[in-house]
Amino acid sequence: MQLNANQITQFLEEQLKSMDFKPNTVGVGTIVSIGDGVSQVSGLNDVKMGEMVEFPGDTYGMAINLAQDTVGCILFSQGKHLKEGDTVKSTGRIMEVPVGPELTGRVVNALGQPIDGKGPITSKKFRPIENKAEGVIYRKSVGVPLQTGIKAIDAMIPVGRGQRELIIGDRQLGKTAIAIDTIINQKGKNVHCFYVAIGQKQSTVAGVVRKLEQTGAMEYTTVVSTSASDPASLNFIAPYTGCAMAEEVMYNGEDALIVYDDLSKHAWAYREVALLLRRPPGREAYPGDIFYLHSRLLERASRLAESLGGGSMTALPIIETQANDVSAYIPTNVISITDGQIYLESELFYSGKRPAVNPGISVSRVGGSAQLPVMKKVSGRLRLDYAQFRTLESFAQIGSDLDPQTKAAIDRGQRVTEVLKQPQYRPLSAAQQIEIIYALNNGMLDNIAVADVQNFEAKLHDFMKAKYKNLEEALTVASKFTEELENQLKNAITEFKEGFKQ
Amino acid sequence: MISGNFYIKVGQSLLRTATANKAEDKVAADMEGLMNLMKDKHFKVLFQSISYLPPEAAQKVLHNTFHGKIQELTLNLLIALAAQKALKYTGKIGEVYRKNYNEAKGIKEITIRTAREFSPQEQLAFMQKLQAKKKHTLTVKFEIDPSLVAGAQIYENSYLTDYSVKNYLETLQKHLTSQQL
Repeated sequence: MQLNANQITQFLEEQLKSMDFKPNTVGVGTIVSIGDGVSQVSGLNDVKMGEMVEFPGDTYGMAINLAQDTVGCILFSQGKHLKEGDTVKSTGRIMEVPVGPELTGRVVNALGQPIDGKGPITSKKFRPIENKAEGVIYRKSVGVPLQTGIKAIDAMIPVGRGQRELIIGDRQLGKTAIAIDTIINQKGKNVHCFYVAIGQKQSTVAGVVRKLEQTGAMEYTTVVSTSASDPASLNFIAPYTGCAMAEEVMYNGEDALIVYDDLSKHAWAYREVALLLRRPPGREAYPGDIFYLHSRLLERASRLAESLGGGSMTALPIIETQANDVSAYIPTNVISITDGQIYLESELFYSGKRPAVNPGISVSRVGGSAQLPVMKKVSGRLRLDYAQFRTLESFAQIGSDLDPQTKAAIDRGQRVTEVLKQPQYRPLSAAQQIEIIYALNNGMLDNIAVADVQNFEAKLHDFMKAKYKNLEEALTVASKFTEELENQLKNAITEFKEGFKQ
Repeated sequence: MISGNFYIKVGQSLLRTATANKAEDKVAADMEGLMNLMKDKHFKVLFQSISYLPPEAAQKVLHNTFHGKIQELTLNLLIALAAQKALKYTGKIGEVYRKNYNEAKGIKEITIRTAREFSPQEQLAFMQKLQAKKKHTLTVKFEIDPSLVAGAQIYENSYLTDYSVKNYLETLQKHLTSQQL
């Protein structure tokens, strides 16, 4: 865009006229001590808990410790220019961030400021980052599915809109990949997505944003990013910022999905802030309210009652474990808060079974009632077959000495494993998942060589898409898996199988 | 180890003790006198150097210098500060004491910060106008801060009313940067 001098002058004149400057009286205080991203301030008599405070040089902070003689503040920038004796002003505003449709497709920091170089965010609406979760009267049971597009999850650990499902596992096992695939799969499903990166490498976040752009998912996604180099205070407030933005969508009667990647780093950031503020350390040096830190965040995810618009916020928090230890402090906390967990296992991942979801210990406590009726009927046996196979897997290497029943269970299990394998960034529609799982559970893959199962599946999807589009639609919207529908599906798969060359 | 807000706690505790002994006015006068002494560069250095003497010697020097001139309570405070090598905080403790003392007595302490120095006539006029508006007794202090460009900042206890050009320009900057061309 090119501007001439007159246009700039006109713009400045308009802005000067429209600016409302009224010098009002504000509470002030003096910095008593400052360092490591926290400051003790004397004065600030009327400051409220969670209120934004302004330091000199356009530096902002938040009051989070109200003691008798001083106020403990966290700073949202390095604040290297600040010194003892500097004046701090209270703003009278509880920490809030811009919300609304203007944020869609944008990458912002924990303060809601754009960091994607696409210009300022012109949102006129703000929401406080801390908000009380709705009570039971204003909630509705989870009843609408949130399709992740991942067979292993949608079939065995279904997630519903408004649910909180934890993704847990060691590093580099594909936790973020599951979350990103879920976001990609929301295309055209009217779900606004929020991806909150907490304390991650900037290159990793850039990679995620690029992938979301390539797949067209940025059109309905907002990324809230705080990097490892940001102060702990920003990492601490980032999930609340994302949650406030998603809440706006929920209270507008729409559906939101929010991914917190990850809450382990969030707990670290809070521990750092708490120790610097000299709060007493507890187990693993975390402060006493570390449970409340996550419970008050995750409780805000809900499905609202019709009287509040019927919107929903689904939360997918991520927790990174160390050496598969789910019994550590933070993992057990978050497991107990959420409505289930998707557990990723390194053994599965390194043996090529990806996504490395272990259905044995993964669970969805409320998602079952939100599962598509046809999927629920079709996938009933899948978990059992897979569990049997995992038990008998070690016998598979012996081979010849097995009784026919065990051999059949192992053969079926091998095919189940093949079907559950799914490449990254290629989520499947609900109908596609139903087709292959139906074929699998009804023995239609039993005479297909294990090595050919994935090829069979790919070609089946192409065939169904080309020839039975109406059937695919019917499978998704049907409220019951009728005999007629089952026959149609069976015939279609049989027709394909006859023409399939191994 | 002395924490960052050490002097605030000491200042508040001194006022509480002085009030309990009904000596808050006399200690206030002592602290005012000490704060004035601390403004002198040479005295400040001399005063601080007492901290580096052995505790008994420091106590003796302070006793010889101040005994009979200041309250026993104030002298004890100085001796305790010297033992903690914290005599340099005397000025700050005095400020905290004064602030809390004024609040307790209902005296409004007002600081007027301007870009240029006010003449005595201007200061008087300003004070009279302020006093006419306020019901409380006022103590007014004038400070100079050239970065304000023009106008004035009025600090009243822990509140600030900012009529400076600097504030206007900062507000304008925020307003303009939040708009899209």
